[in-house]
Amino acid sequence: MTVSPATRRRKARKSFVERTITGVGAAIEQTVYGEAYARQDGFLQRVDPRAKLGLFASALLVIGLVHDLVLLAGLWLALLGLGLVARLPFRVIAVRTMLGVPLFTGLVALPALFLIDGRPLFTIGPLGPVTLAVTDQAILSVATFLLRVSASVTLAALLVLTTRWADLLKALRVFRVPDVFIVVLGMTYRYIFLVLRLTENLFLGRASRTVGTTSPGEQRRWVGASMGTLMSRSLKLSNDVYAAMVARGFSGDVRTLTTFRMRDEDWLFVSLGIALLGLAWLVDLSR
Amino acid sequence: MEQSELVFRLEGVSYCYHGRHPALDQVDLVVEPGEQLVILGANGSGKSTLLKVLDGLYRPTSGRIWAFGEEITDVADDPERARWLHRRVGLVFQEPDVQLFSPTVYDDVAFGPLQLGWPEEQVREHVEHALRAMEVSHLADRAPYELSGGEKKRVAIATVLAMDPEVILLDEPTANLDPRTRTALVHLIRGMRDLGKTVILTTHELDIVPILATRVVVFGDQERRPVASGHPDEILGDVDLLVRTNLIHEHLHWHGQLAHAHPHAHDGEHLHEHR
Repeated sequence: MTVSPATRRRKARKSFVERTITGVGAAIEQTVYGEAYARQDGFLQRVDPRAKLGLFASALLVIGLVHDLVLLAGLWLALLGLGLVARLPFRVIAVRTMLGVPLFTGLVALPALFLIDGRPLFTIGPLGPVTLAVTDQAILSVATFLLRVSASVTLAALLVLTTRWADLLKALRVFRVPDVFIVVLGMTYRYIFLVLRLTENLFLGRASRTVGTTSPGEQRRWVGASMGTLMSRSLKLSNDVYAAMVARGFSGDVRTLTTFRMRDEDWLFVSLGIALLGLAWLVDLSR
Repeated sequence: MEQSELVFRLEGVSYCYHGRHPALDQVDLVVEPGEQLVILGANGSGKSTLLKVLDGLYRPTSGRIWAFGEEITDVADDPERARWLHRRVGLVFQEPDVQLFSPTVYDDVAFGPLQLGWPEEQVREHVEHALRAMEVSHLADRAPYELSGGEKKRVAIATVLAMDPEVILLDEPTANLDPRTRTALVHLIRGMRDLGKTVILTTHELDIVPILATRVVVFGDQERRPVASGHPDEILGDVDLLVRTNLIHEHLHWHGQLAHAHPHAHDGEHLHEHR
């Protein structure tokens, strides 16, 4: 009996179970490797997280305000260079910024290419009654938008990759974020791993007992049942965690330790950074 | 001994989950200061529930409890008195993931002392001491999800030690550990005796009992209350009691054509032969 190419393709395609296991595993791996970069002895990793967070927030503001295309490109390249100085593999930053941004932001910005007035550079069409014109202003606006998003995403990636999540959360106190919010965020992040592992084990358990193929209806039923299992386990876990907190004296008020100390190098980093960002903004204003 | 000198006194304590599923039934128990009390019982005999009741996390369905001479029966409903109890009694949960909820090991160990309102310097001093005592100082900066099972258990104990309680309750501390980690942990727990702590731990692993216990209380898996109490040698020598309470089982094996059964306890899988 011959098997059609379409059937072969269907069989070769991964089942939803395999895809879920791969996805969950990748999520865990990505986070763990992310922390590995934050533990490296790099320039950015050594900076006090509060200083880094404060400076990066200011940088985000300046990137949002600057209009000059060359200046924006310069800022983006400077950030990519900062990533290399922090000993981050270029591939890791590139995946986060150069693949995702053109794909998603490009899609959002695409209609603007045909909607902004200016000197027409070329036309597309006629498509039925409509002829689409792409203007110089439209290209400039879309390019500015893409560069701005790229620089912002690079900034966020640099912050997350060079700062441990625990430190990043504590650094939020700079912005007067309440302790209780920080603690809840930290616990959420902590238990996401546990639930991800649980999910992975549920799917692996099913995969190990599955011989042959299962119908889409069976798969849907199983996913529904797994969601219920995860839900009830999460509820039990949250009750137990609360009991463990109460057992150690928790009564509603969260108290935490302040663990950071600004060094001279951190002040220098912040001062230099602010000066450069200020200069970039002034140059942009003068053009 | 006067009631005020006792660590715990329980009188007819019962507990039901959701008002329907009994976990403890008419438990009478006395714990004296400095004891290393091992509560032996099969799965489902109510050991873990008892520890939560002793720590004031569960309010008994009926009966009364005293700790350090004060009645704590309804302490679960009174946050102020609960804090007083938790300052003096620490509980290490069976599942360490439940207890390690902070982003780093250091934060987790510091959580208890901080909630007690201690000054920062004192908190740091206690955290570092507890980490050293459990030999986990090198893990202070790690996230809990990066730890092995044995490391998690040690850190979980450190989180309680840092509060310097007079009584430490340990729920199956050696469960699911490899032999080397298990031995090391048993010795660390035994060392708590030298620190002057009263230790109450639950287990169904008989081999750790002689090392850790100064007294043993056996819970019946059907009765859900103590059915025997005594010196470890006395309890471990009572084979009938151990079989009846499902702590050892009759093991049937063959010598050629001859079938032979004898009481047998083991933890996990192992190989053995009879000659």
